[in-house]
Amino acid sequence: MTTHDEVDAVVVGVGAAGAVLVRKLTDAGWRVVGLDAGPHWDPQTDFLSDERAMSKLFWRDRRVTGGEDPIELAGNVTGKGVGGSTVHYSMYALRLHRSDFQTHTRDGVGSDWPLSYDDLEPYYDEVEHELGIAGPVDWPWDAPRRHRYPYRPHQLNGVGEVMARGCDALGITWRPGAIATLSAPKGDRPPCVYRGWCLSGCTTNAKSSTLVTYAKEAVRAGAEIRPDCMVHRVDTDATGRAIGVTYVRRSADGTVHEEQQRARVVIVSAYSIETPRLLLMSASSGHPDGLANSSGLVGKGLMIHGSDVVFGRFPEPVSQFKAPPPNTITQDFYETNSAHDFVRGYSIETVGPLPGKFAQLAASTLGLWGESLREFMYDYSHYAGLGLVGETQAQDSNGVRLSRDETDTFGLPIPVVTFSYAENDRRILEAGTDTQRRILEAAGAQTTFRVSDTAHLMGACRMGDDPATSVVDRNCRTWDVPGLYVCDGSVFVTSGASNPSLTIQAIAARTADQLIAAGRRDQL
Amino acid sequence: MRESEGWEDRDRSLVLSRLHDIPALRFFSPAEAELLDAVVERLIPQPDRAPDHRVIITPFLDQLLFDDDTDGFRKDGMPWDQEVWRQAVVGIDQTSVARHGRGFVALDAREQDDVLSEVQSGEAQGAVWQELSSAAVFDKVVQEVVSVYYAHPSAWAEIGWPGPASRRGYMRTGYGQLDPWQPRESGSASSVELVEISEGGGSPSGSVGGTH
Repeated sequence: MTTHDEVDAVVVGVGAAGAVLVRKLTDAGWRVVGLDAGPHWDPQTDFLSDERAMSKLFWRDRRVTGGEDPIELAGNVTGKGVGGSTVHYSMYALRLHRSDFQTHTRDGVGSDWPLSYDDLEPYYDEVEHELGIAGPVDWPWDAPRRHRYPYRPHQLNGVGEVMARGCDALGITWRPGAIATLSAPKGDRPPCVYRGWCLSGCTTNAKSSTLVTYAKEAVRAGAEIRPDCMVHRVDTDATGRAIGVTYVRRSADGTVHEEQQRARVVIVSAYSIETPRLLLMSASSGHPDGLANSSGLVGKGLMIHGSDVVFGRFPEPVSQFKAPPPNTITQDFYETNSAHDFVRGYSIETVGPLPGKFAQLAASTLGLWGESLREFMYDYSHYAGLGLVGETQAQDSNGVRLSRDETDTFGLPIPVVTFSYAENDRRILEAGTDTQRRILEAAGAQTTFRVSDTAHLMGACRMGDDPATSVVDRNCRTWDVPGLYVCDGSVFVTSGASNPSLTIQAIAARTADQLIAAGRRDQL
Repeated sequence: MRESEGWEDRDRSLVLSRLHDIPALRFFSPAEAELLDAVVERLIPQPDRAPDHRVIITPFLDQLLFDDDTDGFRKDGMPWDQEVWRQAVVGIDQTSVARHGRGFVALDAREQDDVLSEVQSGEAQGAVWQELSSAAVFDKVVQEVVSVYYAHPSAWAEIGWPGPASRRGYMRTGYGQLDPWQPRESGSASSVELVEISEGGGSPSGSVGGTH
């Protein structure tokens, strides 16, 4: 087995969080290696304008999904390759609200975060600037922003105009979405040309995935990003300190061999399924229940967003396939409201699936096939869809465990994911989809239909102030294993009702600064 | 394909390969493929096209399963995709024999639709369906078939979608606005009545990504 010389940090997973960490630590003078299970894509040669061909961007290794409400995996929540799911995410770049960090204190549900909005605010600013987020002049929800979005908002598309018209009629506040694609040039990246292929990978580099931002800059700054490396164990020494990781590497000729990377600090940034899976797979005689798991909470408390979509048909062409699908948003229903029969809330956002996805959604939901399906699809460009981002509450019964009898192509136990909505989650789904339908009808929809869907992963290695009830502390350091950090969406304490990517990146940016400061004090 | 002049070379090559390089059968047996061809013919009927102009689907399903180019995940209680498709073929034939006394390929179109409706309902006759939800299997089959069909330029033309739009993109993005390179609509609005069903898979497959 090849063992690589010790570096300052090894980061497992170069996605939304990992790329930020690799870049910032490298900039601070650290020797950093980023390992990713998938390829290092070149968008200008590897990305096609084709829905089926681009499923290669998704994590499609074997997994089982169960519970009362099994969540959709693959394209809905996961990415494989440098950039992770930011390569195909919808690009809404939203901050959590202040209340999201204190749901226990304010609403009596969930737990409070060990961080506050104020702790993250400078990092939200930093990441928004780095990515070149395009957003409205004012953001009318939560407390006022200190700084404007760095780039002007994108023009409305047909779906955005429909949503705006419906919201205006009902007295609902809407704004152009804050999204991670350029509305003007930034460095060597051009602005968006409104192809509408964002969820299949951007070929113009306008989309601010971490592949073309943080990861690219990290390599320029001297970091090594090693693709096609599947980490299966965090290694510890006799004192219990993390000393590196062991992984299988797939070479260009298809052969597979095992390597080890030693590091002073190990950071796991593999997201809410693969991060707990790796910690659980790293069990040893000293850690029989998995690494960093003295709380028993590794793999527990997985959250998603209720993501049902309501589509409405309109008399004129909406051309839902034009421009980035994330176009307009409302967060009027985000906060707890005593008039509702639930606590916490939801956002509503435009969507714009391409024909293959739209046909699948309609066929599955409406039971259409035969002549009626083909005829239904003639109206593809007349539909406008609004998607829900409905908050869910962390439940320890939802999460990730290792299969007892099934393994992947490397012989590693596959993850089993379990999810069931709580009663409050379901009430949010019902109220949210009712609002979506009302907006579409107020805009003049001739007919509507609702599609069940799930998206986003949060939690499964949550942060906290108490080692008994959390896996990592406020700086993403595991309570149990010196030198081992977890930094990605799995540390979320609550889900909020905002797409999680920007918060994942802000936490990573803050964690990098904490690591750099701890390194100076020799307290890693 | 007239619109393809503005496309990237690699996009044009992929689409052309879909038209002209039909993969050989490697996963399904000839008998399985014959039955699936008959199923696909009812799920996506193409009476408006001459036989040599129809969108070909079964060989691409075969390719997906042989190469294990699938979503990779299965729902608890369901087998992996390869087994789902093998069981689908057996189960549809069993339902056919139970209802009409003959195998699926020997039935006329009306009888075939009757069998498929029963499989879709989740209450289908046949030993396979004692172990597996016929509604869930039907949903999986339909989703993959429509994904293949709507990846073909003939299907794009009929729904007014211009295809890859790379590198050109769009200029006129507002409600009711058309770019000059967008296909013009010919027909009138669909009169299909929309009824949400709770059977089947419920939520859609992740195979072509999420929505937001």
